[in-house]
Amino acid sequence: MNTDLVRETLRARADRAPTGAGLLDAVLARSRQRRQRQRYAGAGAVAVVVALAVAGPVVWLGRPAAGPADPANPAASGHTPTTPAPRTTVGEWTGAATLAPAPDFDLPAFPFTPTWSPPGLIGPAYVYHDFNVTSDVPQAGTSDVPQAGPGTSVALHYYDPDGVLVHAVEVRQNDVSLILDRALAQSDEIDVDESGDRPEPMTDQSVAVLGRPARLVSNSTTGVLGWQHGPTQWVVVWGSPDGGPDSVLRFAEGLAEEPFQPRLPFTLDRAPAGASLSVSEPDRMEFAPLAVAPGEQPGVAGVNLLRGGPGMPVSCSYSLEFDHSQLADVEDCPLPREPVRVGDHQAELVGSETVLVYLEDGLALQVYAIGNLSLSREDLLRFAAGIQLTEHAEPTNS
Amino acid sequence: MEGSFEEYVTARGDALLRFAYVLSGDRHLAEDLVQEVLARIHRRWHRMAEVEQPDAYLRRAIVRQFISWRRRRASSETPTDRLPELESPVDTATRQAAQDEMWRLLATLPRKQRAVLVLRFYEDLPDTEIADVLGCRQTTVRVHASRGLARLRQLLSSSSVVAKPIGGRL
Repeated sequence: MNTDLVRETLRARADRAPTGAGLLDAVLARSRQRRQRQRYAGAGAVAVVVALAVAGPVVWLGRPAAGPADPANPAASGHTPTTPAPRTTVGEWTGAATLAPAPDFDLPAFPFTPTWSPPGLIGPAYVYHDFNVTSDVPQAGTSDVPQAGPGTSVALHYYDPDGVLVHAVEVRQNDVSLILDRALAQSDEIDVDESGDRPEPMTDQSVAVLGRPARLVSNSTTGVLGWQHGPTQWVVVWGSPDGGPDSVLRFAEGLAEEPFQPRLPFTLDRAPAGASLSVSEPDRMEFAPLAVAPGEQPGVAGVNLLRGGPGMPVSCSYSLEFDHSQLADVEDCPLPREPVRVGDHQAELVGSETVLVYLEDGLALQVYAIGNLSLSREDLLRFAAGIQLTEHAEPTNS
Repeated sequence: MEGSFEEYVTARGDALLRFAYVLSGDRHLAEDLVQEVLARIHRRWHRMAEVEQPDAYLRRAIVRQFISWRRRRASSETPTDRLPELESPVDTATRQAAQDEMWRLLATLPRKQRAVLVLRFYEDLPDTEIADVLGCRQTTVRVHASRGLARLRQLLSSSSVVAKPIGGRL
């Protein structure tokens, strides 16, 4: 045998390789999916992926303990004192998924207004999560459950010019120590790059922020800072990837105790009855049901603002995850597509639970209603038709 | 490095796919490897400005992705020492048949041995650079190369396909 044959074989066979036609589109689509998966993951909080139709059983682990649920009888549904304020709830559950007029969502203000942020970032963007009803589900049995336990979270997000979330400050109703512990313990798992790049290990130190004791978990390029600011108020700051720990501290010290008013990305004429607003971010609003009958698969409904146009690639996966290992993507979605009109816009029904509405400027709305919030075809289209972008809507790539 | 991500993919996508294909021996896997690696790097492309040789960086990423992918697959695969069945009768020692046979045998090599041979004989990299790509020492590279070639020699000796060497000896 000779090595020339090896060389010759490899070079000859290379001519049979697939071509790069369509490669860029495929990569960009996959990149968008990756960013959806990684939402919050790098910061140690829960992640959510909501793409398209149900590809498997929906996991539902994050709901706070409640009594017997009966969707036909809200009074017996076991709503606990942690039930969100009525201002985030849409109508009442009638025993079947329907639409109800959407209320004027009155979300809590972020209690601080930043006076300084790392240069070059776009923000702040207001973000709201109601972990009482959210579909951002922690994985049972992990140390992460308490950090996402019942309660609400308000945050301000900052994005890089590509629309990627890189810096955030969040106020929670529960202790953020576990977030810091996780950042410390899993620093070698955050943003791990299989090209071989490994992040620099984190160190843990005590610092003072706004006159209060705080913990800074950091390395030379970034940091996570947390402290208790009030009896039921904890604050955590995630630094930008290249900002360094000093920028985290400077950002925190620049937080003025003045409320930053909520900014919702959409207005809605109608929303799924009996559901509550669980997430508001610059590119999405999501609802989760307040009541689920025993044995019933809970659902989720919402709207995402995406970049894309007719025929845009989509994923079929619908999974709620806590860490990356729980995710199972199903690509090349086989669901049938049907051209429809939503208002003045070209749109596509994808399967029976999602509609893609194509807007101007290369933007699209992905409107979905899944599980026990699944709507009829007519209601799904009505739901989509009543959605309008506000000036705060932004496709973030996160 | 200058240029946008889109420009880079357009210019270098074919070359990356060719490399991934000879590395993996599978067209679909090659596409998956390249798409995955590029999707990972996409959001951090601005940081590639600090990378003098993006091709080398991405080649390393593809190799490690390939090795990682193979490792995950390995848990559900049954190891076998047998050569795969030939797809068609081979009755001559033509160059094409020899290449077909070599391609088939390359597919039977352990992933790191195959990666070393691809980097050495397809990319013409010196052992120092191969060691960098794989994240190992040069001596390890030489061991992988030696064992891989020995394995090919052993398999070829039991095959009647390559009747005569085409070039110089090992």
